[in-house]
Amino acid sequence: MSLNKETVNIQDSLALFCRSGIEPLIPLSRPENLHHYRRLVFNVVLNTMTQAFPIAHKAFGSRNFTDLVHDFFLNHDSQTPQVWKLPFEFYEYVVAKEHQEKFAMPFLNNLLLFEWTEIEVHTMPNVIPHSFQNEGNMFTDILIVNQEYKILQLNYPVHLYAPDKAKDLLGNYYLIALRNPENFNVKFLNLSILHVYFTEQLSIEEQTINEIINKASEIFNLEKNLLITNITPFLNDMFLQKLILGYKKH
Amino acid sequence: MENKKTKKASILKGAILTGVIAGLTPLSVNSSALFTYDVLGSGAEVRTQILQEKTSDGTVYELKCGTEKKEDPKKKSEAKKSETTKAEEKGKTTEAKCGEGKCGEGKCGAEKKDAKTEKKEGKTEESKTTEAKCGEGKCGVE
Repeated sequence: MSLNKETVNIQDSLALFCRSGIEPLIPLSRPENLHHYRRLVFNVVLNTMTQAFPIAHKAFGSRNFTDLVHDFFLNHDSQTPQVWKLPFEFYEYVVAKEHQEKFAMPFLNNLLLFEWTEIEVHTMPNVIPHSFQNEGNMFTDILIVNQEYKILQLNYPVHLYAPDKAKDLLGNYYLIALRNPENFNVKFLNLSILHVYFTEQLSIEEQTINEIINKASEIFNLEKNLLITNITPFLNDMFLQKLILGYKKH
Repeated sequence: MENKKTKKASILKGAILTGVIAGLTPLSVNSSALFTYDVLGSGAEVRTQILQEKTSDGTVYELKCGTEKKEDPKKKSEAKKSETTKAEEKGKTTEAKCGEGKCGEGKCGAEKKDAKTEKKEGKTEESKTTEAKCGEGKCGVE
């Protein structure tokens, strides 16, 4: 049911006041209390951002971070009605405005994305895996992977070090945020490119570890025996971490 | 529960095509780096670890376009103060991100500490998706 036009205008005026401070031209029963709306709405936004980006908050300092959120609140027309999704729009806003260059914080986009990813993975839709069994051969059977994860490729190790240290360590870093299908807790793993390769290969098509080893041996120019020796502990650990759930039922 | 078939985009597809992987082969890099991985833990654990790291050179990022401002002594002492209140910091960093349970004028005229204590109690790892906000808590000013 669409709202009355006058109601929409009042809502828009109030929203504009909350974002900009421009006094709305609407009838007010208690004008002296109007400023509270602005204060309360901004507090919700600021608290959401502070909770979502605690590391960025510390890197900026409380006052500067508040200024940045003010800037976002004033200039960005939020697309989501869900407050918990707002941090992603904040991240997009910071990227679009090229704040990492402006503020000489080259790691900023990586940091915000890393901090947002925990929320994103935690709240991602459930993905029911294929039915699996616990017994099987790790090298010759098809492994069933938990699809509730996200891999990030970062240029700065913002997941390993404080920002002022991470900023000097430009490189290629791979991070997986993995949701435990039983308790929905999100866990982070710092991976090498080889581990990412195995994880992706297991996810994108049905193939055995032996088949992946053959391909990886060629791509990474590694001896198969060396690969087998070194990838086995990783795979065993991934069973424990619930990245690999089990073996496909025959 | 719906079984959503997600097609994940490959992070490495481009890297393989552009030869990034080739640049990391053992011919140029010690292969042990390829076999190293770390289980970092939960988001709260990772945050706590990072936030407890002391800023080595006291760098403070200022919101001045393209410039880094040196921090003044007043700010420095504030920063030091915040470092020394580790217990408080620790409590804050281990908070879950989506645990929203804020209402009431926690900081309006009251001691900052009180508000933080309330915050700490209200948040747990499990409360990530609950929402109960009305905007009170900081009174708009730090």
